[in-house]
Amino acid sequence: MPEHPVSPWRDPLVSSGDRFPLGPPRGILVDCQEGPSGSETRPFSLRHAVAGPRVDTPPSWHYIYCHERQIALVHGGNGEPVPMLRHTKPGPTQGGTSFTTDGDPNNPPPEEMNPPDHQDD
Amino acid sequence: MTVLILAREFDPQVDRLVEELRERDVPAFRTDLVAFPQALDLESRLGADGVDGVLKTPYRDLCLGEVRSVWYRHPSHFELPAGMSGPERRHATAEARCGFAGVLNCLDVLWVNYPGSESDAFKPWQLDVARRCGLSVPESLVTNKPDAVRDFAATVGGPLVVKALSAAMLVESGRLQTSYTRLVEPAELDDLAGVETTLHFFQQFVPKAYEARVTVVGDRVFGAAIHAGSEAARVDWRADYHALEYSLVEPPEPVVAGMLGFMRHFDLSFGAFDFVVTPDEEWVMLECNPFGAYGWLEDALDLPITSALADLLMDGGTAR
Repeated sequence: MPEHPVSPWRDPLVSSGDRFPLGPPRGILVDCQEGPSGSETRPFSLRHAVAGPRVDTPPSWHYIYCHERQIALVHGGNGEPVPMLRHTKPGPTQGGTSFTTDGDPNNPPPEEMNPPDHQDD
Repeated sequence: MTVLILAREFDPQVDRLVEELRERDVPAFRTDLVAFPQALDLESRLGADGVDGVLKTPYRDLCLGEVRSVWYRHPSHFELPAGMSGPERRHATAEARCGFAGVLNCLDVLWVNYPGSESDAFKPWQLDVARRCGLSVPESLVTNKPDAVRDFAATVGGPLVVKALSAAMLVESGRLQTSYTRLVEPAELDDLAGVETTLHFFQQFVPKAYEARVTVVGDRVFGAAIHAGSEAARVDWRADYHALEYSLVEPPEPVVAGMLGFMRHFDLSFGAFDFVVTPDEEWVMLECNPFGAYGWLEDALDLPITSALADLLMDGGTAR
């Protein structure tokens, strides 16, 4: 068994952001209108990146967060709010399913793993 | 005693856990740090008697001494008052982050997962730890040197893939772009422009009978075989969820022991491991996602992952 690594909490090179990673606000990816650079400067790993939805596209899910129950609700067939989990069908994301999957834009990684393209100032 | 859940409001997997805890009559306090400081307050005193404090929302309070465990599921950034300048915003963000992290770190309870542990688990380090824990790993290369890629390809003698070291998502021209793991075409070895711009992660493409996603909760192991039905999914199953079929699979005992050793090394209580299972039934670990999704597999295969997570968070006895 390998020895336990040095705790990142004691590593002066590890930033507070690394120690306490946070995702983009409300899980919404930061919009950026900047396009790809040229072939000389574009990382090879992005050569065949697959285009997904526009980030300003309204989400396909419409929920109300219930602070009392601490879960998301959606409008059921009779207009009454019901837990999203019980209303939607299981399956891999895309349009009104009850889960997020790995690689899902609704399940973005912490911002430090994917820093925003625009700084605040 | 209460389970503290730090997560976004839209997270169906968290909804499921909250419902599970409610059915067990276990109090839960769920909040997202985006609520700070508009609708979330922290007041904590530190002194000769130790640390105490309270988290407050307009809907409920939580005494920090009442926390039995924490589920840290990537809460989102603070939403600071509009009108702040950029420097003010960065200062306020750093203050809030260090304040929350500093106070919550005082909680001597189980964290699933401890934030520093998650960010510790870089992919190259993961592979080395996995190897030291007895797991098979693919031959891999991290480099910004095109010639090193060509040498690696010659050594491996078979197909290579290129994959992200960090998150595979970015936003360009207002559109989400995803950089899935993909095969490097042989002709590309003559044109590796862009490799020199940053570090890249190349890996031997391991022949697959199928892939496996193994979700580990504490010491409980839930295996799902993932059978790809399209070319894209055969390289990276995230690229084509609609072409996937699932079945239950039980990892061999040495693989389970290796995963549990890996978890102990990184101080993780939850991890989603990805394996390739070769036609010879060798299990080759690709990576572990400490933040991995599991809801879709839980339903597809009736895996009681949420229940196991609730058990773990209720037990709460294993502090860091």
